[in-house]
Amino acid sequence: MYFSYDFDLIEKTLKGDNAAFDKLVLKYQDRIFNTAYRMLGSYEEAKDASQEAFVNAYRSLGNFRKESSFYTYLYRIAINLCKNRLKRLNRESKFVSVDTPISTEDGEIRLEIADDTSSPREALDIKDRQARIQEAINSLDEEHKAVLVLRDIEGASYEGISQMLGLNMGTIKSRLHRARYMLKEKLKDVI
Amino acid sequence: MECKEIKELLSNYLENDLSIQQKEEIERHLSVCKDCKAQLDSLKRLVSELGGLKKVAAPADMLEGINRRLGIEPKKKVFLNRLKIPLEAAGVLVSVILIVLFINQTGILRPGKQTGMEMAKTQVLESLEVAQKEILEVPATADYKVSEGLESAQQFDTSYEKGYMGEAGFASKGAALSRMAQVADIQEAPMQEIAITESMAQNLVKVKGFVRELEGTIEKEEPAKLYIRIPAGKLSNLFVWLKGLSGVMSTDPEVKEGSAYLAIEFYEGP
Repeated sequence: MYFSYDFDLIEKTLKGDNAAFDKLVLKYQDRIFNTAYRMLGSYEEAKDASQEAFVNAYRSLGNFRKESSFYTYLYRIAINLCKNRLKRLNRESKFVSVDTPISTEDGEIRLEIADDTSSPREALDIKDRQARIQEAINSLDEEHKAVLVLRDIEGASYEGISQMLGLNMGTIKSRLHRARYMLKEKLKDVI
Repeated sequence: MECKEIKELLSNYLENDLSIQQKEEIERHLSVCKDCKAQLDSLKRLVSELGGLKKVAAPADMLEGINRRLGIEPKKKVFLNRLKIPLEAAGVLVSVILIVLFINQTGILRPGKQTGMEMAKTQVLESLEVAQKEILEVPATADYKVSEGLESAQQFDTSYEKGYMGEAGFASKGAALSRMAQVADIQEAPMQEIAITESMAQNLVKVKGFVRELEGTIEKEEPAKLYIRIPAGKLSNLFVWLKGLSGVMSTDPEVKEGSAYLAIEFYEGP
C-alpha cells in the first residue's frame, strides 16, 4: 500500500493512459532535476538528462518490478544517465577553462578565481557561496559525486542509495567519507 | 586512537554510525585535540551547507519536452478561468469542501490523535472517492472534469505524506503543486505566500481542486490559507457552514464575473 498511488499510475500508463504518466512526471520532476543539476553542474545538461531519464523510465515501464518504489527506479535511471553523461563530457573536454561559462538557471556565469587576499567567509554572499560549492562538487569524480549528492543534498537513506546505485553499505560509507573530505579540502577558504 | 584514525571516523561520527565505545573514544579525543575538533566542525559546516543548497526546480517546459521526445501529442489545455461549472456541480464542490472541513473539525486528520495518520488518510481518501463519484454523476455542461482537481489532491496527499528520500522540504512539494496548477492551466493565479503546518497541509491538499495557487513552508507556525473560487450563488451556503466551524475563518469574498474569490484560514489548536 505504501507506494500504491504510483503503482496505480504506472498500471494506467501501461494501459495507454498517458495522462497518468504526466502525473508521475509532475510529481518527481523537481527532485530528479535538482539531483541531475547537482550531478552535472549545468542547467541545460540537467534538463536534457532529466528528460531522458523520464523517457527511458516510460519506455522500460513494462520491466518495472514493484519491489522498489517508483522513485528509486527513476533515480536509478537518472543517476546512471548522469554518470554516463559525465564520463562523456569529461572525455570531450578534458580540461575546463576558467573562462568557460557555467550554465545555471540564471543564465551563464563565469568562474572566478578565488582571491586569497580577501577575507574568507564573509566576503562571499549566498549566491557566490552556492556557486563555489557547486563548482567543488563538479570537481568530484562521478562515483563519489553520486553518493554525496544523494546523501548530503537529497537526504537519501543508505538503503535508498544502495538500491539506486547497486552498492553495499560499506562502499557507500567510504565513498561518502572520501567525497566529504575532498570537498572540504576544496572549500577550505569558504567553509 | 591517533588523530589519523579519528579523522577517518569523523564522517561516520556525524552520521551517528559508530559503536558506543567508538563514539565515547572520539568524544574523549575531541575534548583535548583542537585540530580534530576543528576538522569535525568544518565537516559539520560542509554537510550543513550541502543540505542547504537551493533546490533548483525543473524547467517549466519539462513535461512538454518529455512528451515531445515520446511522440505524444500535447493535451488540449483546460482554461479554468474561462469555463463555467454547472451549478449542480458547484454544489457538490462546496460539499467536498464541507466534508473536508467537517473532517478537520472532528480532528481526525490531526497527527498525534489516537486515530493515527494512516487511518486519517484512508478516511479522507474514501471521502474524496465518494465526493468524486457524486460529482461525476452530475451531468457536465463544461469540458472541465472536476475530478481532475480531486485526483491532484489525492496525488499530492500521497506525495506529501510520504515525502521523498528522507527529509524533503515542503518547498519542493509546493513547487510540484504549482506545476500541477500549470497543467490545469489555472492562469493569472497570484503566487500566495501560505505558511502551513503539517496537519494543516493535510487539509489543504484535499481541496487542491479549489486552490488557485499554493506555496508554503512547514517551518512557520502561522495560519494556513486556502484560496477558493466558487460560483457567487453558492457563497451563502459556504458561509453558513463556515460559521459553524471552529479554527476556520474567511476573508471577505471578492465577486467578479459570477465567481466569488475568497481565502479561508485554518488555525491550529482550540
